[in-house]
Amino acid sequence: MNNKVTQQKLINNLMVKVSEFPTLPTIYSKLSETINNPTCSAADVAAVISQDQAAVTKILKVANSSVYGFVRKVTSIDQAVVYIGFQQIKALVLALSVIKLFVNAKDIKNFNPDGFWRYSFATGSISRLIAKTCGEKIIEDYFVAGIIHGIGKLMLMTSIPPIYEMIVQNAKLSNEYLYVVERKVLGISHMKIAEMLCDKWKLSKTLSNALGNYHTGFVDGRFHLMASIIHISTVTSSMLELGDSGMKKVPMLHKEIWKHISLPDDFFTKNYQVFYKDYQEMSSLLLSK
Amino acid sequence: MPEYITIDEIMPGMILSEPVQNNFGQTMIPKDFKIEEKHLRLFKLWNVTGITIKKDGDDKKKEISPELIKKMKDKLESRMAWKSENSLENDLFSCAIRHLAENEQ
Repeated sequence: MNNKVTQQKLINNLMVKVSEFPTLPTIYSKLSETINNPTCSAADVAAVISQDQAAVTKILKVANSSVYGFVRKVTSIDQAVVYIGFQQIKALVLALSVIKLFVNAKDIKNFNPDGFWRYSFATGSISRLIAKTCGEKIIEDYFVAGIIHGIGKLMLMTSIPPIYEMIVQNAKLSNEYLYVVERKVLGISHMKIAEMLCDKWKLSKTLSNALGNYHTGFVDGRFHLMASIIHISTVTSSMLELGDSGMKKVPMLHKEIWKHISLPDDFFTKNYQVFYKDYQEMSSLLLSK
Repeated sequence: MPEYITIDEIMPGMILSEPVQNNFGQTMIPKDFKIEEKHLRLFKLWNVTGITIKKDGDDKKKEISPELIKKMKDKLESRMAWKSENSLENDLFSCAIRHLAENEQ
């Protein structure tokens, strides 16, 4: 009974922390508003992004990276908008905005934001390639979903550091899944926290569902493409030890997803060089101050 | 494994694992070239944002001993609660073992 009361208090406390957590920077809402206007031009989109010089610098770095592989150098934000596309730029700005919100996240024992973000960039890079292979049009949505899929962990790391430190240590020592230990101790998982943050920020239901269910790839028993792609990517990042997921154990692969996603038999060895380079480059570009 | 580094991290003595190209895709400095002090200035003039360099031992990483492969396989399997059962999962498993072994060398 006491445990239940303590757990309920913790959940209530976390709910308050999520509701008090900052909204996304205004550049993102302005950009969404501009892009939703059917008459908007590339210059209008560029004008909004230009109001945030830090975002301009990072977007230009990403636009000139091997991820896009443009032959010509992208020298202005106007060019970046035209070359990359409106929705794709919006997705990149979302990733930059979320990273910025957690810029002051501090290390806890056995887990640090740097390792966390590296794991997230690996997951984003792999998700982008899988989405491309599956024929998805806006592959940046998958790239960004992969990058921000674990924000619930960062939220817990910053909201309840001593408790989360104990949870991570417990998961690593007992070789248990992190979300299982989170549910045991807190009564709630980082996936649920991420879903709540998405809802607070009024992000799409597809993204919110994906972040809330990436550990299985299914939402209410139904196959979910974005959640499944993130699922495969987290398993891959963990197996290759790219960054730090917060647990030693490789996530359980939900094999039901193969009934819905078809990848070539040599997908991973064939694409390894590409996603590994993208991962290294994104980590280097986006983690630099 | 080659590593991408940004302009601020480039140091003389590093060796390019990929050529540096200009805006038109023309090669300005070829692959395998050793970077000298004068190139740092040129990179800035050419607006190069980053390069891919070789890390120590890149050229001799091709051969991985069966013992190391076995060690990495055992290590990975100890972290997994599932087994690879189809061609794609086998490919993922092989890719991970190879990566872990290359980074262990």
